[in-house]
Formats: sequence, C-alpha cells, structure tokens
Amino acid sequence: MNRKQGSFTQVDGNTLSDFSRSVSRRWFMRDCGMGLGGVAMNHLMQGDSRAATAANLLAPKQPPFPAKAKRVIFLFMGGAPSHIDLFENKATLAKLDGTAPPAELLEGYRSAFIKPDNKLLGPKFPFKRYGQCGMEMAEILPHLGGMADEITWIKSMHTDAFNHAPAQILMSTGSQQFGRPSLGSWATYGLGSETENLPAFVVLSSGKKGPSGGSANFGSGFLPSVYQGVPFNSVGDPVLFLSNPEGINRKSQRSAIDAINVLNQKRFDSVADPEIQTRINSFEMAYRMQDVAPEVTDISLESRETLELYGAKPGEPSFANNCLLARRLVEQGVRFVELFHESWDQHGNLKKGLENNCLDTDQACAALLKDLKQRGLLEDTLVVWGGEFGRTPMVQGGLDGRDHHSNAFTMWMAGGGVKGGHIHGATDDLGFNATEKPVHVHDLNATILHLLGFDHERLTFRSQGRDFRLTDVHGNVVRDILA
Amino acid sequence: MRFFSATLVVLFSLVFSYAAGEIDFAKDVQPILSDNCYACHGPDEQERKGKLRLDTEAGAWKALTKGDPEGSELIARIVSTDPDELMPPPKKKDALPAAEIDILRQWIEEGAAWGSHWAFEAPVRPAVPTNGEKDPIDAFVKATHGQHDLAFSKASSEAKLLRRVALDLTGLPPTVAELDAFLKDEKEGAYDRAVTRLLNSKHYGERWARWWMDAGRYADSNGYEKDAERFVWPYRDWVIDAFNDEPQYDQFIIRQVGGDLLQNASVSDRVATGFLRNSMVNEEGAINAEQFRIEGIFDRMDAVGKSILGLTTQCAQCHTHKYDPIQHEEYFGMFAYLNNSHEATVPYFNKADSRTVSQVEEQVKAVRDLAKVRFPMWESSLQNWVAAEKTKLSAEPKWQVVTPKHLGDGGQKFYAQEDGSIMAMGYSPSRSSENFETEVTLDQISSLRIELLMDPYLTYGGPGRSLEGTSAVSEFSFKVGDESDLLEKVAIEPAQSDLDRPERLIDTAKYPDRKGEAGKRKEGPAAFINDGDTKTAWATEAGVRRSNQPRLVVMNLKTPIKRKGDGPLFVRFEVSCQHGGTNSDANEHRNLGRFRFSLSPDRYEASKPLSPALRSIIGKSSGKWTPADKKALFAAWMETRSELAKLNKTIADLEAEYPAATPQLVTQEIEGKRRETRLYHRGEQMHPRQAVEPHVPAFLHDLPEGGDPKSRLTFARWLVDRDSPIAARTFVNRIWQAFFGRGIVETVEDLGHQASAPTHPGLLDWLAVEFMESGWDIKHLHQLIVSSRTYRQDSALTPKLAAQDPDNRLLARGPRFRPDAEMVRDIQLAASGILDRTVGGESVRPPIPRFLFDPPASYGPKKWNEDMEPERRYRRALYTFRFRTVPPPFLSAFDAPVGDISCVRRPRSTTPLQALALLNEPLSLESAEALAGQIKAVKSDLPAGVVAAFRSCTCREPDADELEVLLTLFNKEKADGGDPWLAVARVLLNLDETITKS
Repeated sequence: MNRKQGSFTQVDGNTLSDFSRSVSRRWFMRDCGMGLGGVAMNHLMQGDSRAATAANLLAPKQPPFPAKAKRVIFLFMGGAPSHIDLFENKATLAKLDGTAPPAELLEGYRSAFIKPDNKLLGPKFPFKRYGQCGMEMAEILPHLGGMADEITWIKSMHTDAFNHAPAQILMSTGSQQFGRPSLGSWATYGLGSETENLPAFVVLSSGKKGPSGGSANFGSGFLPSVYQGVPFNSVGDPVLFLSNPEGINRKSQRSAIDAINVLNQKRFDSVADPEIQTRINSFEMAYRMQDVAPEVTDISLESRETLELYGAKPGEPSFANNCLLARRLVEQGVRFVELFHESWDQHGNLKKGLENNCLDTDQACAALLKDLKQRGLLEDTLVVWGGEFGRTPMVQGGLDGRDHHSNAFTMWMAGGGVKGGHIHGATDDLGFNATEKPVHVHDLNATILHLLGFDHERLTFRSQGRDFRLTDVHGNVVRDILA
Repeated sequence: MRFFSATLVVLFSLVFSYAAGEIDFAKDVQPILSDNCYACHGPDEQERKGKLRLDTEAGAWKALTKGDPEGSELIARIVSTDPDELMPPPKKKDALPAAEIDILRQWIEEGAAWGSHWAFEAPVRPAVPTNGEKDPIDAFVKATHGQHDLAFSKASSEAKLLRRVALDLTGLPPTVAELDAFLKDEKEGAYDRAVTRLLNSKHYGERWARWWMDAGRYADSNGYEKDAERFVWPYRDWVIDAFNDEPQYDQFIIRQVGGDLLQNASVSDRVATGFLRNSMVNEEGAINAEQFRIEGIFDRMDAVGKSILGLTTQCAQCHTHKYDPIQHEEYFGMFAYLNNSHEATVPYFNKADSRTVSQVEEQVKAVRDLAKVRFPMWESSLQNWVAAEKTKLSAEPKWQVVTPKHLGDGGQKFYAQEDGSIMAMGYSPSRSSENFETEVTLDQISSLRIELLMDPYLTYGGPGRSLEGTSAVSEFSFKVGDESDLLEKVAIEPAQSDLDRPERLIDTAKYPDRKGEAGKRKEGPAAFINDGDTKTAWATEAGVRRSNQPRLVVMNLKTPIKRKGDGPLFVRFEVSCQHGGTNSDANEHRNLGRFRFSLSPDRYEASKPLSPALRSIIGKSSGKWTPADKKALFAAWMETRSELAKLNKTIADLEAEYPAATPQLVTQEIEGKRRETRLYHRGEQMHPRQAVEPHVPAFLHDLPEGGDPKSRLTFARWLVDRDSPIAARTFVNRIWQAFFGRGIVETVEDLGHQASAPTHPGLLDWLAVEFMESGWDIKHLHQLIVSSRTYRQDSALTPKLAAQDPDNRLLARGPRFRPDAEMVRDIQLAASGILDRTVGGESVRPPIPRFLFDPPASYGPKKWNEDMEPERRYRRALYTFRFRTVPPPFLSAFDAPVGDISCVRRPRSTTPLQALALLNEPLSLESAEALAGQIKAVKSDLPAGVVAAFRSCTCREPDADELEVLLTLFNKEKADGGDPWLAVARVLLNLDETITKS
C-alpha cells in the first residue's frame, strides 16, 4: 500500500450499467423461451479496470527490465539430495573415508542428528564426466549427463537452516518465518498470467511424501491471494472441485452459470457494485477452466515418443508425469509451475535410496529440458532443480546414510537466460563448505527475479508498514551464470 | 515496483491544497519523513547514517532552518540534482513527489512545528461535531462528507438491514421466521430489539470468536513438517464463551496473556492462555527443542504486536525498529515477560464431564468417609502403616544416579537435566529403541532403578510423552562390560514397580497394530518390562485419575556385577517402546518423557515399592502434611486393608466412570528462578548478547502500579491499561474493519509511524475513549456501531459514489462485501436449512477430498475420518478441523488464513476457484440438495417454493424478471431430464447476493 502513489480509477457507472442492461435484455429476449446459451460476459469486462479485480491482478504485465525468462519450472527436490554422492567427485573424501573429519572444519558446526565428528563417508557411486563442460556426475544420472551442456551447475549453494520445513520455507519464500509470499507468488505478482483458463501458479507433487513445508511453500503471504500456488492433483480432478457433481451434466452446469450470471448482472444493475462484475467473470473463468483443464492435464494426449521420452505413464502418478504436465501447463501460459518430489532424505539407505530417486527423476528432468528445447520453449523458460540443503560428508548410522548439511549443496538451472554447460562455484576437498563463489538462497532468488526482468530490491509489497521483498535485505544477482 | 503496489489496490488519495498554517506535523509531515527517511535517519542507531536522526525534534533541527526551506539541508538534499547528494538515495527509493516536497517546504516556512505521532498520545474524547446528527458516529462521518460534497445514502431496506446486522453480529443470516417476525414488528424500536436479540444470541460468541481466532492464529495442528493434531478447541470454546458472557476486552486480554497468574486461577483462566500457545510446534526429527521454543516466542510477540498493541513489534526482533521508537532491547524486554513459562498441558473437561468429575470426586470422598466409620481405629492403623513404610524405605539400597553420556540414537532427542534425569523432547516416533551409555565407577552393581518423573512440558505433567502423559516400555535391557565396545546383556530378575496392573490387550484404537500384530500386543504388570518379549509392555496408564504421577521400577541383577581393576564399568540401558501405533506423525507415540537411571551395589529386598508420591509425603514430618497429603495417605492406607475391600472396589468402580480429558495447551509460569532472556544480535539465537530484564518500551505508558513489574500478569494488564494510547484504538479500529470492510486506519496491524492516515481520526478517538469508559464493553461498542445511521445506509453505489469513493472510505453508503470464508459456508448451510446450531465442542471433519491428507499432497498421512452424522457434518465452519499444512480447501479458496501466523487483516479475493467450490464442492452440493428439497416440498405452487427459497438466501423476494429467469431454468432443466429443483437451488446458493453482506 503506498500512500503517495494512490490513484483514482474511474468507473463510468452509467455507461457500464446501460451496456450491461442491454445485454441482459438481449439475453431475455433471446433465451427465455428460446433455450439458454452462453452469455458472453467477457465483453463486459473490457474497458473497465475496476470491474474485474482478480482478472486485473493477473493481467499479463511487462517487467521493468528486459527479461530472459518468461516462466519458471521449479523442480523442488524435497528432503535434500546428497550433493556429495551426485555431483561432488572428491578424491580426498574418498581417500579419507572412514576417518574423522578435520577438527577445524567442525568449529561452530551444528548438525541435526549425528555427532559432528562422525567419520567421513566417501561418495557411493563412480563419477563420469559429461558434455563439453565436463561436469562430473554420479553415473546414476546418465540422462541428465546428456544435457550437461544445457545447464548451469551451481556447486556452491549454501543456506541458513538445517531442518526441513524451515529450510524449505527459506528456499521458497526467502524467510524461515512463515507467512511470507513464495517465489512463485512474487513471480505472478510481478508478471501476471498468460492464461485466463488456468491458475497462474500451479503446484504438483510426487514422491513418498508431501513437502515438509506444506502449503506455506507456495502461499501468497501478504500478497493478494490470487497469487498463491494452486495444487493440481495428478489423478482424478486436476483442480479441486473441477468436475461437475454427480448427476450434473455439462449442459446443466452451463444453464446454471448462465442463470447465475444473469441474476448477478441484474443485481449489478441495481446496486452497481463492480465486485459483482468480478464475480460474474469468475464464474465464466471457472466454466472455461472446467472445459480446458482436463484436456491440458491429460498427458495421454501426448505422442508415444513423448511419453517414452519422459518415461511418463498416464494414470500412474509419477514425477515423470508431472514433468510432462509442467510442459503442457507452461505451453498454455501458466507462469510458474513448481514440482515437489519429496524423497531425498537419506539418513539411511543412501545408496539404494539415491538409485531409486535417480530412476524416478533423472530421465524426466532430462526429457523436460529436451522437450522444452525442441519446442523452442527452453530459451525463455527457466528450469530450476534443487533441494533445501545438502548432506554431510560424514556418515549417519552405519555406513549408508548422511545427515542434513546447510554449508554446501548443488543446484542447477537451465534455459531462460542462464549459461549452458557452465559450472559455478566449488566446495572444499570434502564437499563440506562452499568455498568458491558461494551462492546463498537469497542470491539464487535474486538471480531468478533478475532473469524474470526484476530488480529484486525493487519488487516490493507494502505490508505492516514496510516494503517487503523476496530477498528481505539480502541477495546479490549471480552475474557469472547469466547467458 | 511501487508501480504495482499502486495499481493493485486502488488507493484513495485526497488532493489537498494547503492554506497557510494548515500543515499538521503528525498528519502531514511525519508520514513523509517516516516513509522516506527513518530507515536510515530514525530510531535505529546502528543503521543511522551521517549521525542524523529525523524522528526526534532535537535531531531534526540539524537539518532544518526555521522559516527558511531553501536554507534547510533537508530540502536541499531532497531536491538535489547530484545523485550522490540526493535523498532518499536513488538506489533505495524513488525521489519524493513534488506535492510532498511542497508540504515539507510549507512546514518549514511556517516554523517547522514538531509534534508527536497521534497514536502514541493517549486518546482524548474529542468534541462531537455539531451538524444535526444526534449519533456521535454519524456526526463524525457527516463532518467528513461535508468536506467532500458527499451525503448519507438513504436507509437500507429493513430486510436487507436485518440480514446485514445478523451476519455482522452472529455470522448467520436471519431465518425466514426471524425475518418475518422483524418485518411484522411495527412498533418503534424494532431494530433495536433485533440488535439486542442478536447480541444475546449464543451465535454472537461464535462469530466473534472466529474473528479473534485469526489474530490468535488458531489451528488444530502443530504445523511444520509433522503437523500432528493438537486439541485446543477448549481455547476456542473459551473465546466463544468470553464474547457471549464476559465481553470486557481488558479482562479478555488479561486472561489470555496472564490468566494462569490470576489469584485462584480456574481451569478456564488457564485455558485462556492457550492464546499464547497457538504458535506452531516443530517436531521434525532433527530439531533442537530450545531453538523452536524461541521461535514460538517470536511468534507470540508478533501476535501480541499485531492484535493487541497494533504495532509492528516484530520489526524490532533483529534491530531497533526502523520507524517506531521501539529499541531492540525493549523488544527483548517484552519477550522476557513471555519467556518465563512452561509449555504445559492441562486436562480440560467440558461442562457435562466436569459435572461427572465432581460427582465422582464427591462420591469417592463419601466412600472414604464411610471407611472411617467402618474402621473406627483408622488413625492408629494408618500411623502404624506409615511407620512400617518408613522402616522399609530406610532399608532400601543406596542408589547412585547415573546420567548417561550417550543419550539415545533411535530418533528422539534427549536432554540431560540438572537432577541427573533425561528429558525427551521434539520428535516422538510411534515405535522406538533407544540406547543410553556411560561409564560408572561403582565397585559392584546389584540392582538398578528407573524413575519416571513429572515435568510441565509433558502432557498433564507426565510422566510419559503420550497424549495422556503416559508411556509404555516394551522391553528394557541392561548391558555391562569392561570395555565400551564389549558389552554383554545382564540377567535381571523380574522388575517391580509401584504400578503393577493386571495384564490386558493394548488399546488399538489409540495405538493401531502393524500387520501381524493383531491380538498379540499386551500390557500390564511391571514384570513385562524385562520379560524378553517386546510384545508385552509395562505401561503407566492407570485410569484418568491415577495415570499422571511419578513412577518407579526396580530390578535386581541375578548375579551382581563386580568391577575389575581400576578401569570403569561401561554400562548401557536399552529402552524399547513397541507399544505405540503406526503413524509417527499422528500422536500414536508412548515414549518415556522425563526419566532417571540409578544403580546400586545393594539388592532391593522389599516387595512392591512404595509410589514416589507417597515417598515424598512420608519423607516429610507429619506436622508438615498438607490436607492433600493426608488424603493421599488415607487413600493409600485404605487400599492396604482387606477389611475395606468392598469399599475399595466401589472406589475403583467410581473411578472407571471418570471421563477422558482433552489436553489443552496452556502457558504456565516457571516457579522460582526466572529463565534468563538475552538479546539476540540480529535476532539470531546463535548470537546471544546481554541479559535483559522484563520491561516495556519507554515511549509507551508505564506499567500499572501495584503488580510485580516482572510478572507476565502485570505485562498483560499493561497491554490493556487505561493509560495505553494504542490498546483501545487498535481494537476499535479492527472492529470497525469487521463491520465496514476497512479500518478507520487501514493498516489495522500498525498504528505506528508507517500507518496509513486515519480517514476519521476524531471518530477513532471518540470510539476508543467511549469503549474504555464503558468498561471495555465489546457488546456496547458493537451496539453503538450497528445503531448508527452510517451503518444502516443502503449499500448501492451511485455513479457519483463510484467515481468519488469507490472503496467507501468516506462511508456515504452502507458496507457491501463478500464476508469471511466461514460466513460463506455458514450462509450456505443456514439458507438451505441443514445447519447444525450446536455451540462448542471438539472440531469436526466435513467432507474434504481424501488425497489431500495423503502423500504426496501431505507430508505424511493424516487422519480424516469424514463425519457423516448431520450434527457433525453440518456444523458452522469455525468448528471445521484445521490442519495447518492441509487447510480446508473451501475455506482457503475464500481467503481464510491458515493460522501459521497472526492475521488481523484478511485479503478478500474473487476467483474462479471460488466459483468451482460454490458450484461443485460436496457441502455446497448437499446444501443445494437440501434447498431443492424445500422448493419441492411446496408441491402445489412452484413459484411460491422458488420465492421462499430465494428469500431464504437473500432475505428478499425476487422481482418478476428474476423469478422468470429461475422458472425458465426450471423448465429447461426439466425438459433436459435433469433435476430442476436442484438446478434452481444451486443457482440461488451461488448468487453474489447470497454470499455477500450488503
């Protein structure tokens, strides 16, 4: 709320209601006795800025700076993947396997479960170099390896929290305190939506669990609630309450919405509250969503090649299905799609757990990049992959687990204005600390906003007397990774 | 991106042109300085640039030259063309608009008179404008109309007014009968009588309780990853009752912040402190309990700030407030009041159960009195018994308390306590195996003891971690060795305990079996603890009346262990609990809470040990026994007498009638030494600095006299002290928001320097003073508002109003907006006649798609046994169970807050997801079906049925055109083979008018 820059938006009450009265008269003449048909209320919306508040909030907006990315697909690997085993080929760590970590590393170090001086545990898988960039990855990531040159690899991520929910909330909202808007809601607040038939910010979930941070990961905080992420279900109704109730067919639904809107319009004629126009519009949008969403979310409409590319199987919920769905959604103009795959908390069962997780996600991640690329979408779609923190180079339990670790982890980004085949930053010989070009979560968020065309210090919203931003008082754009 | 914020909310800005001498520092100048300068030139010393502060008069004169704007540094810098000189720095803020620079110029020209921020000066009842309006509210509103060429709209129609006031006061639309009665009442004062009826309705408390629960961040689960259920509906019911029966706001706050410290605090006073406990609780496996206890207090500070103080206190958590004069240290001064408490849980009984409890207690007492009659020599017999027990105690082994160094490795977090005991906190899995290791230098070990101790952190004080304060040990084993990695299991004789109950099957309703366990898990006597079978457990459940007391278990080693040589003995205690359920995130756990291990070189020779409670009584000299001690001794003695077996049986039977309690989270002051509060540098717990004593910010009023200045109760009284400049204004303002959709100060959470300007400052102060002088009477305040002409206006917009005041800030029409989510739901249920109007009780589970409660939508699987009975399914929305991580989707679609943090201003959106919910969600449909049934019931006359249903939804009859639309729809649907009654009912319940307060 800005006291200074308040502006007046005028409603020409007379013109609007005259116009709408004539429309509803037409409706009476045409439909009462001659059968009901769709009422084209859309036209009513045009030219009146107050009438359709929700629609206006979501109207597409140009960002203040040239944007490289128009939309984002965030692959949130909940539970925190082991950077040590997947991305950090550390000869020293392999050599020191079974020995105590150097004491100086542990000064002031806080661990979650283990004693900090638990013995070091070498990587669980052989590594391979991939692509021109020579990115080293565990061999259980062959598909992603094939896309290495499309990707910026950030090996020097670090964060402040080492418990799941607080760390996820920090990644998603820039704060460990609940109640702040999420990255996806900031993005849609800034850019609006390119679709009227689908929510601007869609959330998908797969894996053994749901995200630790729950719906706070995609909440709108103090931003208007039209910017909150809308969870899509991967089986049944993609959107809650999308299907007509049993016994109500499409025709009845249309008749009902027509009658509702005509009566609402009549009410508008007598009380002239523009909110009623917004309400009318919302019913029209709902009807269109009922029409469009089932088709958009029906991945069985994809070719066999595409399904195979992703490893997607219609009707069997999976991360692969969600990746394919994400592509279909961004094609339709959805601004921000966030996929949660909460499966990476390998305190034990590290080897098998990582193998399974890579089987579940590697091919689909690579397929998403390939598919976006071949459709010309990758250049302005930013794909982000990562978890809420990393894992300890020290062992947890016997020989097959790692604890939470906030000092270093790996994330990657592709498309939308980041370099391909670029490796950014590095950790020490044990993968313990981000030592070269460290990137904090705030820096990552600042960079994502930059790619979307915003100065992260200027994309603000006034709440509780101050201008809040995603990065609070922190964050530097990581210029090295910009294409 | 200011541009966006400006277009998001259409702001009302009045174009002022100031005549000479009209500049008001507080109203016109300070907001500009605050917004543009205070971040670097304000109260926060650490951030202060150039040693200049502009939030105090003395500081500001450094940059001002009286009467000479152009000679003032302040103006020079804000108009500078040099980007290095320009203020605010272009990197941080946009340049000041010309209009604001002009205000500053004029202010300096007129002498730069200083003043203080209006909200920090105690409100004084202002003179009511004399403009013909009798009602003071109307007089203030009309005075503002006059400045903008506006006038009151005509009065609302009676029917619409009744609907409006019924929704505002009770959250429910009037029933058709209530509407008819009101319309028929032609005697003068009909409206006042209706208002009185509504204020006295039991539903009044429900409506305002839900309103307060936003601020109180109420939810039925703990939040964070595990998000386990909690049982805090007694707090919700307390709020309902408080609004209904004791609507004095000062008492309302004092109880919620300090109720437990009132003299003779009742259970209800303690339940009220659940307000503070509504913070989330993190039970992730890896958490440090203290870290999240502190997070909880940060949350309480935020809630108190937003909802009671009307200040953005949390801004001072990390540094001195940037805009308001709250020092960093003062934040922790207030924090210190809240920091000296236990997170306790009390047993709550509803009214009926409370009656049963007191009946049982009376009857037990009567039986005991009868025992005294039947056993006339009881006094000497009791004395003998005490003497004998004393002798036995003196012969017990000398125990050496052993505090393990290695504190568990099975997923729980344990914390060693000063008395040598171990406290389990945080994650509590449904099954666990924990090892505790250390070394001892005893020459010989012959016996060992496990004490289960009480702690305020545990439910009902413990001694266990379950929701009933109990625990079960499936198996205990003891290992010893001369080397730490060569430990061998020691053979132990069957354990003995003061609690030695008969064998029984586990209660699988509370602790579900895993596959293959059905009928196999048992619990009972002490010997189950070390019988080598994890299917049998010693459990501390002993009936509601006896479960929550300390217990002890003693065991003798079959062969004493002797220490060899000089080295220590390495010992390991292994504790297994396999008597929980299957879901570790759903309270199906039963682990030990606070416990202590001891070893002894001597054997324990006696039979069943005396309970720890009796030990401490007997350990005192008889002169120091309290009446309760005496009662306990008598009860214990009685049980030893075979002559009284029949009466003992009667007591046992009576105790079996004891109802189960609800574990309400409360705040309980720490007795004795205070917990130290330290200032956290940058608000980070890892960086504690100086110790801080409880104190309140200096710029506000003083602490009330007479109370302990360090007590939370004194703090509570200070919050709502008559001298507070902000308490009444904050409350009155937020109430105003509830009625009119917008506060007199729009930023209801913040009346500080960054607050938006009040639209009616005189009215705000008048109401605040009136409110305090009425004895903080909330109902009086409500009555004043709804009786005003301002409130009773018609809400229709005219082109003039739409153009001049689209957001109705100047109140030249009545309020019209979509009410809170809960009211939308309640309107559906009430209008269709299926609403169950029961008040209070445990939360209910209406239909919500099941998949939301299972992974991968939810982190873990959550219980959602959909309520099928109408008396639960169709309750008001405030009773819907709310998981924080899976909030009820219908309510969320209509902007209901989750309860993660305190919310005093809901957003209000209109979205397609709302339309889908209204059209297709199960309860929406069930409401429509019920309403369809009503239309159908008027068999002879379809139009009459439709008109009645229309009226039930909107409180008015449809006009001819509207009726025609509905009848046309009916005929079309009939022709199409659909359910025409349902079609009409769905339309009626979906109308904008139905879900709008107008």
